[in-house]
Amino acid sequence: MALTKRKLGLLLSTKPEHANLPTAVRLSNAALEQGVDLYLYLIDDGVLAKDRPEVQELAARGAKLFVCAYACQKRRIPLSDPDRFNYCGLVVLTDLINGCDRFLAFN
Amino acid sequence: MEETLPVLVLISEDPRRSHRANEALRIALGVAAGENDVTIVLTGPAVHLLDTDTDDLVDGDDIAKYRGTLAKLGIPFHIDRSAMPDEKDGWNAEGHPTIPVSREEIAGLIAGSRRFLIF
Repeated sequence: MALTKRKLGLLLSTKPEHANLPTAVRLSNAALEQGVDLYLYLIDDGVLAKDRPEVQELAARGAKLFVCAYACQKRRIPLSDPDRFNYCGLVVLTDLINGCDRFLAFN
Repeated sequence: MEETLPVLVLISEDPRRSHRANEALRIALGVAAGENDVTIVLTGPAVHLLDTDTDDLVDGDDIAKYRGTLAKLGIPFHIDRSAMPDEKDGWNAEGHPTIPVSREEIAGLIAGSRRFLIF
């Protein structure tokens, strides 16, 4: 089945040290190689991964990155570089849950 | 048809030890606010999200606030029957609607949902 232009949404809520990050990154890379539209939403402790090179590489390869603004504010992480990050709230997460063909949560 | 199925949020994190139980509740509320049908299931120590005294819970003030909003929206908590405390033991004094469920019934709720958020 052709996966091109299919939409995959991923939610990551754990710290970068958790095994969820490499798992999500590998899955993301595999999806991007298949031409899937990839949406990665970082929430809770997941926002700590936003500057990681492997996450930035996903963005460079076409993944759409979303970062929970509330989680950043709670952790005193500046909402810097808005050209690279889409800071947003649960409305966007809900749109991804509803709008993607598949949605996986790494919690 | 799939759009009519609920989003299931299953929480097993212990709110006495981790902020993640509250975060899961916040996310459940956010998804519900997007006019989605949301099913919330509490298993294991997550049942303490309904503790009457929230002082001993991580982010207890937020938990109380989110519980109140969920109650106004008419969203019940499905509670793992094997983990359900006695209401006389300082649990759910506010009378939030709860639905006791068995592990088998939880499996059925998962099978009948279109998205899953497991904390």
